[in-house]
Amino acid sequence: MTFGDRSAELQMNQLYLYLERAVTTSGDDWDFGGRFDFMYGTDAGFTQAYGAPQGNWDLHLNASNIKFYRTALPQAYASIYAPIGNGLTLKLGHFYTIIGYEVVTAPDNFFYSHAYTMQYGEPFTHTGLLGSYPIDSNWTLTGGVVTGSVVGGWDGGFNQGLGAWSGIGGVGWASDDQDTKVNISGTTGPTSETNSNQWSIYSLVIQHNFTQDLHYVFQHDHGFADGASVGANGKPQDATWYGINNYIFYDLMDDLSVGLRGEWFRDDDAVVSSDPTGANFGRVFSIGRQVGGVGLGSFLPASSFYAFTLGLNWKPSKWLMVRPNLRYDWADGSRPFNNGGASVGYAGDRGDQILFSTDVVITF
Amino acid sequence: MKNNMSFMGAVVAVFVSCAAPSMAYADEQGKEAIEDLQKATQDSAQGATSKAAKELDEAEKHLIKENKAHPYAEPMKQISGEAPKAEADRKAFRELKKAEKDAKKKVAGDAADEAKKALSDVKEKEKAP
Repeated sequence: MTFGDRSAELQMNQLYLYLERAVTTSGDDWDFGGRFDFMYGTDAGFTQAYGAPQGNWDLHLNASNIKFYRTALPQAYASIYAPIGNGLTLKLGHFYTIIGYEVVTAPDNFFYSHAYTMQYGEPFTHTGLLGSYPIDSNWTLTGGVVTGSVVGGWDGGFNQGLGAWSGIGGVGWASDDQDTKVNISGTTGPTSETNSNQWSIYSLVIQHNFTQDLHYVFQHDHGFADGASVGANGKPQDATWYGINNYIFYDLMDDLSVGLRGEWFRDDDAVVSSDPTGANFGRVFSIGRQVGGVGLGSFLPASSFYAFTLGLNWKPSKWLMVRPNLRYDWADGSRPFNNGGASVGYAGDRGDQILFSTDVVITF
Repeated sequence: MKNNMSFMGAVVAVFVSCAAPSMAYADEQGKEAIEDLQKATQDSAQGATSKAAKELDEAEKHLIKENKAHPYAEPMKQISGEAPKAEADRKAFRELKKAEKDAKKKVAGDAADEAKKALSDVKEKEKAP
């Protein structure tokens, strides 16, 4: 697993600071703002901007002999509000992805551990331009262009690979009373400056409150990377990966909720088994995450990965949150677990694992 | 070229001027939602839960009208601090509905607490950029 990746060790996952001037979302005047995010901790290695060849944005901020604790600058963007129609908001710079449901920032997730789709199948950040426009109170359009990456606009930086541009976009619908939300988002574009093969993903997220205490989320991702895998004949072949996540949360009390996540993730073309040193291959399981030192395991055959996670979310005060979770993972077609914390390139010797983990989130 | 620029300017001006009346209407709806929530908080605390339930229902309608009159871009994903208006709006609807449910069940104390939270969330939303 990425993020909470150390067994029986205390980790400081995120020391997270951000400086922001949020732009207005209404009114007749132009407005200008921006945001800069800083993260130090064991999560940072998974969210840095890798680009290719590796850029200089946040990859080399720590001494090379520091093994797990790193610094990331996952967001640095200027924002503009233009009073056109219902109000157009633009972000220019480096920003978090709009793809998927789970996010990097700890307070915004129910569970401490993450879904496979988020860890291995989605981008974390982009560099480029992103606009959002509310068509009306129910529909929002988001779209833009991203660059600086070797993997179709994912996790790009500022100073490498700027010749390859991908499109990013999505449409969201929310009910009047905010009880139901549906988002579909995606990216598509050339893999890199030197590889014109298409790299794409879409993600569908449906959120619904059955009651004010019972909440449900459905997510489906499907990614496509042309020529990113290696066929039996040794030639490149198209790769695909996909998954389905189901979440259900129940508020037991004002400060205590219980949640269950069930997930299935399919690496259908063994992209993970591609040569991790080949810059154009293996990004489904992330160049970033490989360099970060921990991946699902390389040289695995095409596999399906499953997990159930049961967790509590206790908020005894506004600034404190505790999130214990118990998780059972299993795989068919490979044995990715119990690899002794080895870096990518070493498969494990087990087809399943049970994981208990917990964290404490203090906001200030 | 100059004619094109003038045309573009006119289009932008029309967009901006059309937005102005809806802003005033949206502000008015926001104020009325706050007034209804203040009444609902007081009435719930005094045990007048049926009256509070009606006021909460009215408050919800005003919030919906406010959003229709002046929609905001709903973020695709929730990142702390990035969309304060959307965050406060979501919390407000949630607390408001809890309050309404408790008011209908005649659980006055909980309804009052939840209406108060909804009021705080709506005020936060109105202040948010």
